[in-house]
Amino acid sequence: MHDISSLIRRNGYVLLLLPAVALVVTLFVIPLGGIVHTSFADSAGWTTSHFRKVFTTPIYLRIIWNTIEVALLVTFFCAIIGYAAAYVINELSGTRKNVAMLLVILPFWTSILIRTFSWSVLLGQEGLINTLLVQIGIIDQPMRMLYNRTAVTIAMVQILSPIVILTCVANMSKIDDTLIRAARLFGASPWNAFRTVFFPLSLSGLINGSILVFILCMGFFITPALLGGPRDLLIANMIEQQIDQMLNWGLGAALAVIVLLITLAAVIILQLSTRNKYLDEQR
Amino acid sequence: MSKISFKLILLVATIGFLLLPLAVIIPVSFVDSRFLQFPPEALSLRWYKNFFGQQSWHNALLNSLTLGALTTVGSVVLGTLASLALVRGQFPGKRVVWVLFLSPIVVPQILIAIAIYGLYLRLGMVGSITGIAAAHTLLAMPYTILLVSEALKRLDPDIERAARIFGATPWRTFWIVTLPQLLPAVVTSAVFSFFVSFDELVVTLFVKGTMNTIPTRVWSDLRYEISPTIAAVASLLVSVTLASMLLIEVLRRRSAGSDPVREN
Amino acid sequence: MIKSLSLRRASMAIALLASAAFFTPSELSAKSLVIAGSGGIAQDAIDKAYDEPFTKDTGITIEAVEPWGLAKLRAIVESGRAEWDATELDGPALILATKAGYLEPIDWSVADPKNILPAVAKRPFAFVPSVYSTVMAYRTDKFPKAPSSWVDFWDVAKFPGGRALQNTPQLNLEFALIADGVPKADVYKVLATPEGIDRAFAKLTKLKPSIVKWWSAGAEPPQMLSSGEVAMSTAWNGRITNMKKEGRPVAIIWNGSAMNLTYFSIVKGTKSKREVEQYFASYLSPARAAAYAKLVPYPGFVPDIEKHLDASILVDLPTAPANVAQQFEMNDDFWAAHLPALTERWNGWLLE
Repeated sequence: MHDISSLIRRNGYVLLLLPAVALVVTLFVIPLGGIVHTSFADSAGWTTSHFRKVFTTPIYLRIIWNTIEVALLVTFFCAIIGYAAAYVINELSGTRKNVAMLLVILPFWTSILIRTFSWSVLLGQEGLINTLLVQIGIIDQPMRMLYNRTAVTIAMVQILSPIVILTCVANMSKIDDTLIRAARLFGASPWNAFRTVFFPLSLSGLINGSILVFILCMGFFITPALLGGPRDLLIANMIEQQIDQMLNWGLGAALAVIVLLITLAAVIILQLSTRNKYLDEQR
Repeated sequence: MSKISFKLILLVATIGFLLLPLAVIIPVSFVDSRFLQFPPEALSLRWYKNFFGQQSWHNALLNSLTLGALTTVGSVVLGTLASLALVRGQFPGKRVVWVLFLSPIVVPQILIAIAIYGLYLRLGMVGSITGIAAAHTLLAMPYTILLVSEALKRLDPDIERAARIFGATPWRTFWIVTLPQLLPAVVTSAVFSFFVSFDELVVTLFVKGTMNTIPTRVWSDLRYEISPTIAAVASLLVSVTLASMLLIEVLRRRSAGSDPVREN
Repeated sequence: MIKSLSLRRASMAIALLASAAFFTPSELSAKSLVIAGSGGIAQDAIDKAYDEPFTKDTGITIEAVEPWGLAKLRAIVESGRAEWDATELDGPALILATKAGYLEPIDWSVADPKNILPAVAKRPFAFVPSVYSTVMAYRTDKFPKAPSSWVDFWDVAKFPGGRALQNTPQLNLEFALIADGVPKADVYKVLATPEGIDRAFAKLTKLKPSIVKWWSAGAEPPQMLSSGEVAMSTAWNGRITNMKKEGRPVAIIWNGSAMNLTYFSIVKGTKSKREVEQYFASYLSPARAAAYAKLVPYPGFVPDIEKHLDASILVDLPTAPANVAQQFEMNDDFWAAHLPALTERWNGWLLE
């Protein structure tokens, strides 16, 4: 079917791509290319010394690993909380659904900096949560909840889980509920109907949301710096330190290139592993 | 019945968790101290007065809202077009283009910031609102592309084909068939894009020149002393959003009330 | 008809030319300087105390941008477009920027024509507009007997409660050595040797379990002290003074605290070098310096400032003679040379 109209159609689609490509190339590819180039350069010319430094210095490997750990932990909680909440919201009717969505979006009006700060107030020794727990009598002494991984995880989940909720609700609202009704009619239990029909159909929303959360975690630096302990410093903090405090662009860029590769690898693995299982069945 | 209430509890708990920081920020906006003090010892409206009396805060808020609006338009239009091409078009190197579009949110922002800063310095675009909005669009567009192309993949192309067979032009087909079906994804990506811009700090710090947005203003305060004014700004934005949603709901109810058949 | 029209045109053109000639010089004199600083409430104070009077005197307006940063400075100099005319810098950044050739030398005959500044405030590539201190601050209501030194800061048995230090080796190594018995005059002599650095890290290791938070933003220590999260912390002096004024139970210990100088430098490639130097010269007015110190307790080295200030304000200034005697000055050269390597070690040490 290689007629002229299909050719035009194909090229037409490529034309639609142009504005976005132009933006990404001018603001991202070209300027960033120069910076990535510096990760392979020193005053003498081409070098892999910055990368060798990263791979031979245990601290950087430790911090990269910490970053992946935190990212996985936060993504896991966001996925569970976000999917469950989206499932319930999706079942609500018009008005209630709108109100629920609005409440999910509401915290966005407060900048991440301030939300992070308010978590330090909430989780502090004399903070709201400790005071409440002591008054109810669940604990006698205030717990130390701040400046550790728990605090970082709680705050990051609070900041990022709306992403999963939004992507999942957008996706679930497109699912044709006659399919589920049909499954029930043919004798499937509610759980089975969910497992075999609804979940596979809604999986792509969950995956997209989780990918976004994971990617954003890899670049987080304000929340870990303000709420975390020394083991919660993430790779973005290191990159910032190298570039802005020490003018060591080579090492900073090398770290960034590594983060980019890890994240892309994670995204591709996640997409491939889930695609085989469910998405192909769908087609 | 017990199942419904379990679901409700789950939802209320999740939303409660999401709103918890607001439970601090709103009371803190009424403190009479120079700190973010919680619970407040004495109450006052001084931080609201401070916000309304200071031009620099108005400008920061106005800049943030303007950038958010520009970014939303840029990201949704460019992103939706690109998604159409990525899902419906056939061309070599599609995977590469896909990775290219996603990479701005994967690369640490400090690097993008420096890269764009170098470019804007040469172009004399530091501090230009269009320039900042373009940078924000770069960061927001990946969300639109992910969400919209996902929705597009799940669209039934037969409906579009049917519309075309019945004589609709490609544009008309897009407006009356494709877009309405994409609407949830487009609206979600618009919300994302707005807030990506509204909360963007690192890149903005580099390219903003002498202007400020809400996050950059908070950032510079954080270096020395956080002013409760920011709590007042956040509380104002939250209440304005709630009030306008309430108004829309009331209007909707009223029109729905005159048409009882539609309400189920 | 045609003639009159062209005449009218000619006269209009002449009028336009005349007005252009009339307006151009005043356009030129309405210059503006772009100066990078820290922003926030310190900038509000600079606006009031220095920038507004300077604009009134000279017609030159000051545009403040923030935050300053080495990465930005480098990009500016490399692009050849001087987005900034001058920038604030801290000690180690000044040395790095000087070495990299990002700064213009200052002509002190313009910036300090009457030669009133002490040598410490006049560097070849920098002017010192203000001084702040990294001090030890504590909650007065948490201890029956007040702590008085870094030895007490380390003594968690006698002074129980959480501690906080800044997340950088800078100054913390010095404080650790003082706590370990090194006289403050010898701190940098000891740090110059590898054994001295090991000794500082070993001392810090002893305090590590009691450190609740390694802070990174200046607004954090006051918040942690106020919420009771920590009982003692390092902090920048200005914020603690403001807390005291608000009636919070906090106090500063000047003994063994570190004086940090803030620098102003001229950015390479600026077209307004002379105007920047005039701007620096305007900081030498004791009345303006005093007005600034009243708003933020970060004074400079302008002589006679004390004549314009109450004793109650002078007491809290890092440059008050009684306070100067108890402090040491951060050695910028040491940190410019060792910051990268020591930061790497510090990051590793934190993870241990």
